[in-house]
Amino acid sequence: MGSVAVEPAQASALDRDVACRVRGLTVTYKVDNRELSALRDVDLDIRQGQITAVIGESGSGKSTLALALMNAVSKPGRIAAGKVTYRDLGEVTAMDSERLRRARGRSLSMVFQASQNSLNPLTRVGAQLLDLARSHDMRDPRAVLREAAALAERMSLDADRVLTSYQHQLSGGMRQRVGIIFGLVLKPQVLLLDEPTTALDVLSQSSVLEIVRSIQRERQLTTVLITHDMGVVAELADRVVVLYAGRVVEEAPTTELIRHPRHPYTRALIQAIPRLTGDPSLARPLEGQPPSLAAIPTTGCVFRGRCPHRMEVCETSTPGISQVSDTDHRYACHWEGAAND
Amino acid sequence: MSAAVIFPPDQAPTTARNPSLATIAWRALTRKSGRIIGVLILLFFISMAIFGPMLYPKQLPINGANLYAPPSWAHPLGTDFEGTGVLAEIVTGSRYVLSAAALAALFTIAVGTFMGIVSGYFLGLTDNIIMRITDFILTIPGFPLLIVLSTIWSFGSPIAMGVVLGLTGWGGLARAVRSQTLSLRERGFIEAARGLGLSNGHIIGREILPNIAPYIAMNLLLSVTGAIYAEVGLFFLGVIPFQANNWGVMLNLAFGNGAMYTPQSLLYMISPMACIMLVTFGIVLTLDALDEILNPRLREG
Repeated sequence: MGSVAVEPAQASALDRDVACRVRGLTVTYKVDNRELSALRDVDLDIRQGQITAVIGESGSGKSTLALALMNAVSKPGRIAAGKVTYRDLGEVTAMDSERLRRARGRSLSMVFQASQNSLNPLTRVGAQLLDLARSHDMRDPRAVLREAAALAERMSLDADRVLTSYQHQLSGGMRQRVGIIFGLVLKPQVLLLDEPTTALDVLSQSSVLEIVRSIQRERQLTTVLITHDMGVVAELADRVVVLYAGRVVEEAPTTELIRHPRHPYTRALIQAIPRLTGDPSLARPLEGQPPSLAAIPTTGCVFRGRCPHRMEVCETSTPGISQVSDTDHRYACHWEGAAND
Repeated sequence: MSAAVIFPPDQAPTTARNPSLATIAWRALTRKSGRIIGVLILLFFISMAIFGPMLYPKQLPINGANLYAPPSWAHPLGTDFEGTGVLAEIVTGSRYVLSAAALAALFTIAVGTFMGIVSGYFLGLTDNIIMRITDFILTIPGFPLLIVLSTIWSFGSPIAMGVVLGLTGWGGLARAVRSQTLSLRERGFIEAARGLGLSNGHIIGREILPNIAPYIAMNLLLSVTGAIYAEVGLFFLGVIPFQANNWGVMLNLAFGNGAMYTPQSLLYMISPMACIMLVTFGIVLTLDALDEILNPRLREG
C-alpha cells in the first residue's frame, strides 16, 4: 500500500477498507401516535469485499436495518437520526428519491426476505429482467439477460426454462434463486441479503449459500447478510454483528465471535445451538422473550431483562462499547466477566 | 455453460414460447362456447349501432293505417302506435344508447382507475386530496343532477349524456381501486420492484395495473350496464325532453300511448327491454374470458 490514491471528495471520508459507514442510525415506527425505535444509535462499518452478517432474533431490527441501509424504510417508519454513507455512492440518507431509485438495484442491490414472493405473477421472469435493465437505462438489455442466464446456469437452473417461466411455474427454491439472480444481475457494488435461505430446505440452502459465496469471492462483492441462523453465519460470514432489540451488542470476526463470545446474549445464542454429535440436551435455549418494540428500555442495557449477569448499573446506564485489546472485537456490556472468555 | 449456447442471439428468451395477445385471446374465447356467444352478441349490437341507422331514412315513416300491426315481412317486429316499424326504431335507437353507455363507461374506468391507483400508491397528501374529491363526487346524486342539467342541455347528443354519467360515476370505482392498490403495494413483488429501483411509473403501469385489470374489467361491465339503465331510465321517465330516438324513448312512448292496454303491442314494449338484456348478457359472457386472457395462471388449465 505504498501510494495513497486520491479518491473522490465524497469518498474521502471513508477508510479504504470500509464500503459503508453507519453512524448513529435510529429508525422509528409511528404506532398509535408514539414513535417507537426499531433501531437505536447503530454504529457500523461494513467492510469492503467482505460478507458481514447481521444476526438477531425476530423483531431485533434486522430487516429494518437492511431497509435503512438502502434508505428504503417505508411509512409508518422513518430514519429519525443518523447517516448511512457508501464509499462509491455517498450518503444515501441525504439523497433525493430519483438518485436513490437509480442507486437501488444498480449499485446497492437487495435479495428480499421471502423473495419467492418477489416476482410479478403476470409477467415472465425474462420480461421482468428486461424491465429491470430498462429502468436502470442499461445500454444493452439483452446483455442483462445473458448475464442472468449465466447466473441461472451457475445456480443449476435451466436458464432457458426459468427465463421463459411465470412465477407460478417455478418451485419455492427456484424462485429464491431467481430472487438472487435479480439481486446480482446488474453487478452491484453492495449486495444485501435479507434472510436469503429461510424458505429453503437444508440441501438447497447450502447450495445457494455456496453460490453466493463463490460469486462474492469472484467479484469481491461487499455483502450484508441478514439472518437468524448461526449455522449460516458460521458457514458464510467474515464478520458478525449481533443485534438485540435494535442495538448492536457485539461485533467481531466470525471465528473470533464463535470461539470467544463476550456479550451474555451472544453466549446464550451460541449455547442454544444443538450439536450434531454429542448430547442434544446440552443445548440451552435462552429463557424469555425479546422485548416488544414498545417495551424496549430507553435507558440502561436492553438485554437486562433476560441477562444472567444482571447488575444494578444495567438499569440506569447504557453500556458503552468495549474493545478487546489488539482485536477487531467490540461489545457493549457492563459485566466484568464479559472481558474474559 | 455460456449464454450463447442457451439461446441463439436472434432468438431472445422472452419471445420463445410467448404467444401473441391475439392468440391468447382467441384460445380463451374458444375455450367455452358461452364466450363466443357473448362476443357474437356484442359484435351484433356494435355493428347495429354503427351501420344500422344508415339503412333507414332519418325520419322514420308513419303509417296511420297500420297501427300495432303484427309481425310481417315489412315489419318483422310489428309496428308501434304510429305504424312505424319497431325493428327500425330499435336499430336507429341503438346508436345513441350504446355510444352514450360506452363513453360513460370509458370515462368512469379511466378516471376511476387513475385516481384510485395514484391515491393508493402514493398515499399521504396525494391520497388525502384525491379521496376528498372522490367523496365529493360520491355525494353528488347523479340522477337528480341529470334532471337539473336537462333544463340546460337537450342531451340530443350521446356525448353530453356519456360525459355527465361518467363524471358522476367514477367515485365508487376510485375507492375500490384504491383499496386493491393498498393491498397490492404491500405484496412482495411490489416491494421488490421498489427495492430494485424500478420507477414509480413502471410499477404503477406494468405491475399494479395488470394485476388489478380483471377487477377493472368487471367494473367496466357494471359501468356499461349502469349507464344503459341510467340513460334509458331517464328517457323512460320522460324527464328529459327528447329529440333523439332511442330505446328509452320507445319505452316512454309505449307507456304514454296506451300500449299497456292492448296485447298486440307486446312486441313493441318487449323489444327494447330484450335488447338491453341481451347487451348486458353479451358483456357478462365476454368478460368471463377476460380474466383468463389477463391471468397467465388461469390460461393453462
